[in-house]
Amino acid sequence: MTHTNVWRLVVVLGAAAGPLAAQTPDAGPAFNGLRTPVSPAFVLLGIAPTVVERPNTPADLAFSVLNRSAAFTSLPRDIALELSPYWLVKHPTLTWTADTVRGLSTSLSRTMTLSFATAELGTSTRPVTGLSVGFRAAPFSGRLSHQSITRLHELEAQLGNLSSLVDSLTAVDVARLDSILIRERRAATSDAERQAAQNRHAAAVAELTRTVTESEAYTTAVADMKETFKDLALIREGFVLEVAGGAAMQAPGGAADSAKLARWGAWITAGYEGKSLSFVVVNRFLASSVDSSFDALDLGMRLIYTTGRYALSAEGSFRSFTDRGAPANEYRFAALVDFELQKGLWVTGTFGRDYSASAPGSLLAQIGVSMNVAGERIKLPLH
Amino acid sequence: MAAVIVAKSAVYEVKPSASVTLSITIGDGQAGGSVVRFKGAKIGPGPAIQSLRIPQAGDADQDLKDKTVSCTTTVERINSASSHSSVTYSLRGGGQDSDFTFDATLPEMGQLAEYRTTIIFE
Repeated sequence: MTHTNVWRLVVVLGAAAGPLAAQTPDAGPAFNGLRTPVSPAFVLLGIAPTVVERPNTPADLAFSVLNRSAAFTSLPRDIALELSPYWLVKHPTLTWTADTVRGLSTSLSRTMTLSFATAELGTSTRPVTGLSVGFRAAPFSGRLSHQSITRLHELEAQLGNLSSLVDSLTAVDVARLDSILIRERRAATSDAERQAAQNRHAAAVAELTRTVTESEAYTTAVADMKETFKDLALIREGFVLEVAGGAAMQAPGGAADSAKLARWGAWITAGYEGKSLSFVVVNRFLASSVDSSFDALDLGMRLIYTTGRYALSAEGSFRSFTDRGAPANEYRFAALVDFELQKGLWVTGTFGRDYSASAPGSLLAQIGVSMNVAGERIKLPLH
Repeated sequence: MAAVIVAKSAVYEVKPSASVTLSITIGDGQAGGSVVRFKGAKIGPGPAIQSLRIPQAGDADQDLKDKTVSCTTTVERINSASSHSSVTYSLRGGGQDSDFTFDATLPEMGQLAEYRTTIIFE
């Protein structure tokens, strides 16, 4: 993507219904590659699974593990599993308003994810099963923005209106069913009969409600609400600190007791999002016991200053290879300018140098135009 | 993406000619709004129902025995970390404090659940 003195025209049409983060300017892939990955296990194993199992209950988790490991008789094959221990169980007393601000322990527990992956890395004649585990957590995860809180209150008002619609459309019939229920419970002579009356009542109310949710009045109300809140994005702002780590092992022949550590890594990403000034600092260390010549420590920082019509940002990355005789240290820096010519139409410029300054194309000089049809353009994508 | 429907009923023991209070909690970090109907009238529409008095203060008939209150709560999944949704109906002022929790799984973000709960006073 680096072309010396080449002017490029890039038109990006952001989908109106897409997530807000996808419509905002981002650091380049060189910088983003250093950020804390969502699933460290997949990164360390070098896989990008198309299907990731995300069990939502302990039962789902047990089923996934048992199903893939042949009841613990062999290493599971080609599995990509990610889970959040905290969210595996139900939290009936946790309202979203109670999650707007988090302390250290609540942030750690609510953001921690564990990832696990296996993949076949060898050949048919010399099979090698790769296996990796990783974790990710945010000791500090900021607070829900005031704008997000306001939008959620508005959404709840709309959901209340939807409840009111369902209630109104079924009120007469539910009142009749309630009368029958009271009468049947009075006439019942045992707890079993009373429970049976309640079950009949619940089934009838469910059927009534199902009819209403298929009605034009309900579907139109839902469609209107979805249209109003299509750009709803729950943005957390303030100080964010994410840490992640993981290790990958290789097991020749898929034998569990032959597994040896092959690669490991650690990531730290820290950032702060303010009204006009934001920054993010990334730190990554990757090491390999198979080929240590590419053991490397990466440090990077990105600063963003925004006003109404323009944004300035600068990013720098430093890479140090830690093995004796490894290549010399490398660094990269880039300055980015975004200027809004008119609403939704932005001119973007990138200038700087890539890691290998002597290589052709390492001078960064790009100018482009981007269109943004919905949402804010300038936002630090911390999540 | 059809709405998930949860219809339940629960029995709450009341004291003679004494009111009770109802609070509704939408758990698992999801969003929701409710409406409460008692004796044919809506008495508690709104997203946050806390300590709603049943019957209301001006109601001439304060006896709740053998009456019902109908609660309709619409929940939307906004929590990308969890597909669990739950609604807890908390009743105070009767024989003993009681919390009735009902839940449903919402596999997709933005999916709705309609909770229809009937509280039977006895």
